[in-house]
Amino acid sequence: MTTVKECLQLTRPDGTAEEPFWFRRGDDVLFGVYNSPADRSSTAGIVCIHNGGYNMTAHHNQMWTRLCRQAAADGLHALRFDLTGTGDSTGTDVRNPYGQAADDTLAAVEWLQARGVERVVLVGTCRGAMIALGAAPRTPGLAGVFLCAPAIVKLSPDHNGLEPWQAPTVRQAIMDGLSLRVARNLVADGEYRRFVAMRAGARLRRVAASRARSGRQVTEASPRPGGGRMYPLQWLAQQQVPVKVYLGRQDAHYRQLEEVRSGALGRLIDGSPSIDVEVEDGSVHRFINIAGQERFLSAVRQWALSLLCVPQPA
Amino acid sequence: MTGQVLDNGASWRDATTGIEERACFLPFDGGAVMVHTHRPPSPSHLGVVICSPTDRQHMRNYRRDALIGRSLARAGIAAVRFDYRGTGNSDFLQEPRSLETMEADVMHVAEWFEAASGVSQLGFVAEGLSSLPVARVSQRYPLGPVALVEPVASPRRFYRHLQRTRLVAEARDGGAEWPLQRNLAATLEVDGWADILGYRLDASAYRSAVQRDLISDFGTAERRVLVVQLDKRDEIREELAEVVARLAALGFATDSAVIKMEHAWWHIPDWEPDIADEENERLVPAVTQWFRSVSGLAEARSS
Repeated sequence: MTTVKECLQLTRPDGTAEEPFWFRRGDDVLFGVYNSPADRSSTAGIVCIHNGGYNMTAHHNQMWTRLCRQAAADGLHALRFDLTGTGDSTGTDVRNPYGQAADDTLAAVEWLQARGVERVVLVGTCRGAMIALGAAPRTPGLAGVFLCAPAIVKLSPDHNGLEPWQAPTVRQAIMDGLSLRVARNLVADGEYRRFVAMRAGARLRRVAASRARSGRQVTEASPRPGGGRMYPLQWLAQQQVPVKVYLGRQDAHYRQLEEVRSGALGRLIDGSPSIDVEVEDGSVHRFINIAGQERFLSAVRQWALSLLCVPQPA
Repeated sequence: MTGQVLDNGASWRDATTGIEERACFLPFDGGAVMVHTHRPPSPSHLGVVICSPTDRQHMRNYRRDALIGRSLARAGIAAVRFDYRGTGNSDFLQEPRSLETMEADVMHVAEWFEAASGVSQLGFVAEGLSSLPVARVSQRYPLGPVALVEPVASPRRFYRHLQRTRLVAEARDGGAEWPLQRNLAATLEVDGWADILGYRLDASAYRSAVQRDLISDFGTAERRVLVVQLDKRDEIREELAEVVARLAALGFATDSAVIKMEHAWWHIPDWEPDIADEENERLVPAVTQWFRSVSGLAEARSS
């Protein structure tokens, strides 16, 4: 019989420590993992926000686990957590980046602040990026926001924040379908054919639902983050909080950025010295290759360290 | 308030049901495995080790496994979940992750859980590739119930399927980083490892896995087995029907369940699990009910 004894906190040879924990947000308890630096007097930290849904504290291929352990080794406090209704947290995921999920993030920041953290960088991927934006105006000691693969159209000051999803145009759908690569796979792979059929069915259902909703009159606008009339990205630009927008050239979000570049969003991004856009070759959004994951983690690390004034690694 | 009581942050307890959930690290071989326990308020005769699938499937099924753990605890059955070393919140693995390292992890967690929880009978839930290490480890727990959810009967077929998916993703997304159209075996031969949709597969792990076969790994120790299929079709697929038939032929008391739902496209990188809630609503109670039904049987037999 084994004599192994479990431990609540793991201390590593470099003096950093790692512990799973639960914290309260409203009626729910959320799960998180906290990495503390060897120098506990450090006042700088990062909070990692995944995209909800079926994600988990570790993110794909231990990305958040790696990032947080490295951050602690770099002298930062680091926290990754599950949003309400995802991973190990309780409750229901309502998929609203500016409501419950932003509150989750603020509760995580508060937990970190109780450990002496005064300056924090929020890091979010995909919907987690939108959640970071939603939480940013209310985050005390905010040092920066790293937005990986955010839905660009939702960053726009033109966007009313009410209907986040738009049906693809017929032209776009046809162009997608005409792709040689897609056609080749449709011919060669029965599984892919079933997948495409499933996606097409799902899209049709969403279009039908969207049309059914379009007849309704919207009488009440969604509350704007920060309590004001300003969209988060505008607020961050005005406050000169550093923002990094990290995109993959192959991702739809990058194409969206190019399309809206001449509009209000483009003017906001290009005219704000505190907003920086970094575009990687390939796809970033789904983290489907290890090299891309490594580049993303490296970009976050370097950027967070530069903002939090921790000496950067050689 | 829903009555969740925090215990210094290390665990929480539902004030209504008395169920306690705790997360901790389990030291192992110079590293540590992250485990989550779900304990019912009364001592449990049966404990269940929930063994998640790997890689993208691990992420896709993570929430579901948490719900299975909670559901089992509500049914009076203690449960434990864990991340294999080299995955999730567990420590990184120095050697390549393989079916052998996974088997060692299952064994380690099972032994610890049996001692720590005081259960007299261990059962297992195994999903995807975990079915192979669980098939072997469960031999040490005769009469223990084993639920196989979408098990991998043939690792060779499983990897062939992954390779196809990888090529589809490559074709669709393009990008300079993808090695052009080499098959998996050739990639592993040349590079020593392959990137399967953002997860590493080492040549040594692949070579060892493709020699394995689920039924052979089951051995002969008596256990009760449930085979669960999640699929759009009404009938059990040929591959799983063969698993059921071969287990039955070997003398295992074998049940099967077909849970009809949209196919789980866990391997498609941008697949959004719109069906996840539907799946959870059907699978979680089905697995829980099966363990409830067999736990009384196991208790009677062991006493």
